[in-house]
Amino acid sequence: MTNDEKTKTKKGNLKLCELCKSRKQAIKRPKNLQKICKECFYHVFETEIHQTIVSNNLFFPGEKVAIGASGGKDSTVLAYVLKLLNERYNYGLELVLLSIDEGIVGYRDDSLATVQRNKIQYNLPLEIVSYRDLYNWTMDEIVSCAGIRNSCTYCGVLRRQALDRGAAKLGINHVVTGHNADDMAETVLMNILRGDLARLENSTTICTKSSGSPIKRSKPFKYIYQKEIVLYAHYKKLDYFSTECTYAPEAFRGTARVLMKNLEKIRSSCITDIIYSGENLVLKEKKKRQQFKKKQNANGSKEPTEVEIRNDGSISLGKHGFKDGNRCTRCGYLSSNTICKACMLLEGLEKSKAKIMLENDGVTDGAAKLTRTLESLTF
Amino acid sequence: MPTCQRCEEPAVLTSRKQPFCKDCFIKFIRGKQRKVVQSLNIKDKIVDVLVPISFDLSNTSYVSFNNAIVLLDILINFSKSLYKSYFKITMLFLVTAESSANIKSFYTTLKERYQFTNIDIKILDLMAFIRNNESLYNINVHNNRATSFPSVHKFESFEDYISSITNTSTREDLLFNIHWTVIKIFAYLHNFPTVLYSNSMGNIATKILSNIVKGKGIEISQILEESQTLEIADDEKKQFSFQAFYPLKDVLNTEIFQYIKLLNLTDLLPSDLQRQYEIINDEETGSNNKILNVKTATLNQLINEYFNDLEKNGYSTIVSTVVSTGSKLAIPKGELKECPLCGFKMPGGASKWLDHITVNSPCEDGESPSPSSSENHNPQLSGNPLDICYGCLVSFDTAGEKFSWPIAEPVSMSEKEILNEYIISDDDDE
Repeated sequence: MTNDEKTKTKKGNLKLCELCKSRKQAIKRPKNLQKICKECFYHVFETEIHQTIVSNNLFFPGEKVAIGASGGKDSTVLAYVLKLLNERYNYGLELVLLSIDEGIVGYRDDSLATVQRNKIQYNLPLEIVSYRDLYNWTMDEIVSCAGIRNSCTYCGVLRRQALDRGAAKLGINHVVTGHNADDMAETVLMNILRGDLARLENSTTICTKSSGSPIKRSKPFKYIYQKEIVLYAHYKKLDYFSTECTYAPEAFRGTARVLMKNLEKIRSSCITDIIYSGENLVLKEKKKRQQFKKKQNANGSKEPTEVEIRNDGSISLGKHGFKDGNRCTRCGYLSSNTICKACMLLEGLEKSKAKIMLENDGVTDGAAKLTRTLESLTF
Repeated sequence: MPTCQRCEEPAVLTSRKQPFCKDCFIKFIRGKQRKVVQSLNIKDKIVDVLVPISFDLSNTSYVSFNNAIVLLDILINFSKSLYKSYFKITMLFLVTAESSANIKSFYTTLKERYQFTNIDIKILDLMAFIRNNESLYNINVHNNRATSFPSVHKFESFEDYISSITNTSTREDLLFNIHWTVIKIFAYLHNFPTVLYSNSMGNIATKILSNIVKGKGIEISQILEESQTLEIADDEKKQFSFQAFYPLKDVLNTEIFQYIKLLNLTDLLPSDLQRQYEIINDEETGSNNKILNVKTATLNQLINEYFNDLEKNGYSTIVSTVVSTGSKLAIPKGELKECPLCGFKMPGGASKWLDHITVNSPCEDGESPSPSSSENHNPQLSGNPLDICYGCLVSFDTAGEKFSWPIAEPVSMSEKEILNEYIISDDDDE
């Protein structure tokens, strides 16, 4: 008799959970297609996250941890589950919600309202750091200036720095984000398709840290499927904001995402499989180029007297110039160059910014504002 | 009409955003093989190369045949133009009993067309792999665990064996494993120093990405490695080493089709493949080959279509980037062992990894679970536990009850007799 038949005959025609064999099937797990009840789903979902946290030693007792909260499903579930596990397993963590206001009218303001509600619901302190305060730019202004094509490049660089700065402001050295298994798998695929060798080996690292930075970032949802996060949020009736960013992801990433979703239809385990592959990818050792001995300078040191100035205006510090904890000369943020990436991007933006602006001009507001306005209209 | 950028003659096609006339295109494609030819050991007067061609039940047979005739054309032309050195080409056709009929007529046409005598043909019935069912073991994968026990299933033919695999993606994996193993054994038994695989850039990119998707990322470097080895269980354990090259790794799928078209190589294709060539390359009917129902497609087909679309939409650089990235991968350091199913080196512990990230215990709250539930969580599988690689564990989980595999020690000399029994040699052609 197969498992399916067993679960069917137990209580007449009622199909029973494949795990506990006592409750009604409610969910087909996207990860392994197991048909289970709600209670077992909550149990496996939460336990898998707990196992990831424990086996990777993500936290230590008494640690102050900032949860990167956008108001979306991933970060809302993360805040809920971390608070739950912290209490259940006595991690001894001090949790804080940390939000970034990128300044996308009609999108981020609505999602931040969700985070404000989460603050009350979960009784967690909240800190909001805005692009306007940090960089004197909003994403709407950046997109109107630089175009929608590069929006993710700007937003990614600025947000990473904003999270670090927000955490530093709160005296926190650890930020957890809601990146899930799908994000991990997508990163592996994108790094392969783009040939990004520098990132390939570390595509699936659970804990990352900028060189010299005291702030580490970790991803407790590394092995959790996005669909399971949606199911969990749905059944737990969590309050989250479900609209995707209006500055949609770049076209090429979109094709890789569609491919991955199609592959998942054929083999549900493929997301986990990609992560497994990613964890075992190793690059060949680079062939050592023949080094020519540098002539000694007039002052007797072997350091080169020339400094490379890159096309984008940044100055290379060279192999010996970069020290752990090197800082940007403009903003003081950690950087391997004299000017950090964010300052470099902002400098480019300043050059192409309109010299004169109309007061209360709404022209920089993005598509999200229009969508929200249309949604509020009634006949 | 655009003109060829190299000779100003009227262009007949555009490839990689460049217009080409016929002669310049042929020269361009042949020129890409120069590096590979230079890396072969052409100090000897004769370079013995083995060119395997799959001609079985797999979907890739047609592609394999197309690529192979382009590779043969290039090799023969090189051979004719190289001073002193030349190739002795042995084509190894991997066939099933039903698919071998057309090959001899292909061989005759090939010899007539090129007037090239240094070409030999070997036809290997894949039934040899099952070895009369003697060493077959039934492989059972359940709850992330694999076990094996002597097979009770008897397979009448290779078709019978392969159709016992119910999942089409798994069937593709199995066929690849069989081809890979058989080619290596054949190269060893006939002492071939060099094997030339006819995979194009698109095929290799598909293989790289599909391996990533199937959890077999670790295999990529082993497949693309130039120096291949085979464990031999002779009197004293030793390894057989040979060189493996992919001469068409810089040639796009669309360029393969153009090359065949411009040189009228379609005459060489067996009749049923000629028809397939026409359908696929007909611009109007070509769209019929699009995958309509994703659920019935295989993983390889989806990835292949993805790369074909990228190529057609002017993103061919992504295909070459994937191939170049794949060639920069290495085998991880540390203790590795050979997977008894696919034969590739693996780190081990795949079951543990899966157990670690997937919880399979029930929620104990509320109603207590019935006693029968425990048997489901820790099933006592019959047979001996088998430590297989992660990719095989996932792939063969859906293989079906009859899935069998000849688990054996490294290649022994007695296999020579078995393979010889299944090699259909043609004395007239020798």
